[in-house]
Amino acid sequence: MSPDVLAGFFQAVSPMSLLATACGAVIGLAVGMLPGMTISAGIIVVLPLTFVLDPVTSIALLLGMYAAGMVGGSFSAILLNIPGTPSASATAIDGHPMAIRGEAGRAIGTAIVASFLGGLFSSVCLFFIAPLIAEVALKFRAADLFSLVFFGLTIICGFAVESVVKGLLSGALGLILVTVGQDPVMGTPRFTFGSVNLLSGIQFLTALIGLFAIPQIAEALSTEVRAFQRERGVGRIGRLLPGREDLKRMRLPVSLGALIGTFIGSLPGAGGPIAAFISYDYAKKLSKDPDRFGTGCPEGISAPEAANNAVCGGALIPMMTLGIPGDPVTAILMGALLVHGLAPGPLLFMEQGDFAYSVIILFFIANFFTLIVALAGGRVLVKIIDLPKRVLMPAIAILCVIGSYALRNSVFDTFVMFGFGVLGIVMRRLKFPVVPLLLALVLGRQLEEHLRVALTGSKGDVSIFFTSPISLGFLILSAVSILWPFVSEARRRRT
Amino acid sequence: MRAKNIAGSIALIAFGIAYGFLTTGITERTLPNTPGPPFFPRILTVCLLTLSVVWLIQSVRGKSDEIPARETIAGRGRRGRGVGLLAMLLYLTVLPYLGFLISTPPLFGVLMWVFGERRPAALCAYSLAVPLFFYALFKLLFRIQLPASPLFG
Repeated sequence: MSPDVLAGFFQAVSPMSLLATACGAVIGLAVGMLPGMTISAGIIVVLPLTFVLDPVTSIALLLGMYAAGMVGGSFSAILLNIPGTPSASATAIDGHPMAIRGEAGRAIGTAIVASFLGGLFSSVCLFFIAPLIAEVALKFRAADLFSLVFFGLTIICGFAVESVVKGLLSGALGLILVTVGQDPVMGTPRFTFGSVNLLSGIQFLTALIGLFAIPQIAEALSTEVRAFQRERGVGRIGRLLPGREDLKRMRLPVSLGALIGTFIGSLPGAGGPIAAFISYDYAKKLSKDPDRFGTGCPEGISAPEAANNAVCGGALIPMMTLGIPGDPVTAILMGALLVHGLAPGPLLFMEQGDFAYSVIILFFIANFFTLIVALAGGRVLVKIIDLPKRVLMPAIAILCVIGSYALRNSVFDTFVMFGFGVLGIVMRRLKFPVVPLLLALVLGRQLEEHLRVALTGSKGDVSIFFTSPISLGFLILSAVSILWPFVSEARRRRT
Repeated sequence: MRAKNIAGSIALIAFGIAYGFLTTGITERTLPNTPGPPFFPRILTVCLLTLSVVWLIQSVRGKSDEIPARETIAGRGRRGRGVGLLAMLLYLTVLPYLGFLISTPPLFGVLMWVFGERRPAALCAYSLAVPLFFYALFKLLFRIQLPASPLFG
């Protein structure tokens, strides 16, 4: 066994890391259960704590939240028919009918076990695949890296949004915001307007807090549902542990969900909801009794639940190996690591292999803690659904201010956070996707740096991007990811 | 939605022009045939303007590649949101002068009110208890700096 794996293992199983993972699992479950509170917003709330913790403990806390948040979402999907997280939408199709029949415990238990198995599978994939990809990525030159980052951005702008033009515009806006501050190659100030605060650019985490949390609070004001009511017969949650018969039935849907979730998770931008619905669809098609789907059957819960937790491990693969976050949560994780001076990417495995492996092992452990906490404390934690929004939302607003201030002890950053909050609200009103902007904020500096280094090396000759097979491959994929939605839309209209 | 899209695209075109103009003020420090600091912003200007024009054309022609969605924002929510954002802005303005402990309870109270809490006892109790809890948790337990007042500490 490699010394890095061993060192990573010992870091991951230190008492502080285990405690942080367990705490993360509890908080993540609670956050996931709350309808209207995404895992991203929940993680943002605990971000200030990670500034004072060491990197391994910080990432342990966040990974615990990430894994458990997905499971938490299924609780409210099953009990209220309102998914706690978008990824749990498919779970409600069969979960809620089971809850109405008085089988809420059975449904939740199925979701917990399926999520655990999906998460476990993806963490094993992460352990074996990530180092291999990182090794290949180390051979990339500046032109290849530029095309890779460009591909990462375009796939999110193209595939993951309702309007490609708005997706690309959102990405372009993010890149423009990244140009504020010193340029990454020469350190020349740009768009600082003489302000010292802007010299170091816009802090990614500050922007992220505003973009995700403030619009969420504003949206909570707009929704008519101010308290979540359970339907009659759904109140009592019985035994959570699924029986032997249910476990038998779960085998095929869980295997499908785990495979699909890990694969889709590794594609930047695709995300949990897509994986959950595709898995549900495949599980239904391959089932011997597809008519049971939709009426409240454990197979209909296990496929999407295995998939949405497998997405977490899948999304960690591009983040850890290429420095490209697969979804908003991994973007936040990346930001949290950057605060500690750790840049995810191929070099992380070479220079700080012990830390890289500790992250992978911690994700593995997080899935176990989620299983234990959800099975043992699920019935108690579920009371969080009844928490009044009128206390919760102001508390989140205050936590946003603390989080943005604590990063650099700067009041200026709180205004930046607020500005991004307003931008987020406007973007939502105009149906602009926020994720491309967020990803552009994370990847923008890398994109510019690789572009300029590559062009400097080639003395301004742009053919360098087309003569390298790797770079050309990524550029072709970028073109496909931009054009594909237009082509599929044209096809749809024709038929 | 069409009018909003047209207004949004025009605003982005104006922003793109202003941004492009600002790139002319960036210092050129570079070797021959190599891209300097304004290079990337200029590419972005072209991208932004092109995409904004495409969006404008789509909006004017009434054709959009997006999936139509239901309008969900109620008037009451819009008013509450306005009050909430204004209160937040005011809070951030006074925060450096009054500090976290003094300025947070009023904001908390306003936000609770906006979210529908009308019981005076609950408003007062939560407005004091939650900020105090956060202060104890972050400042005293985790030693995280919170905005302090130059007048009251």
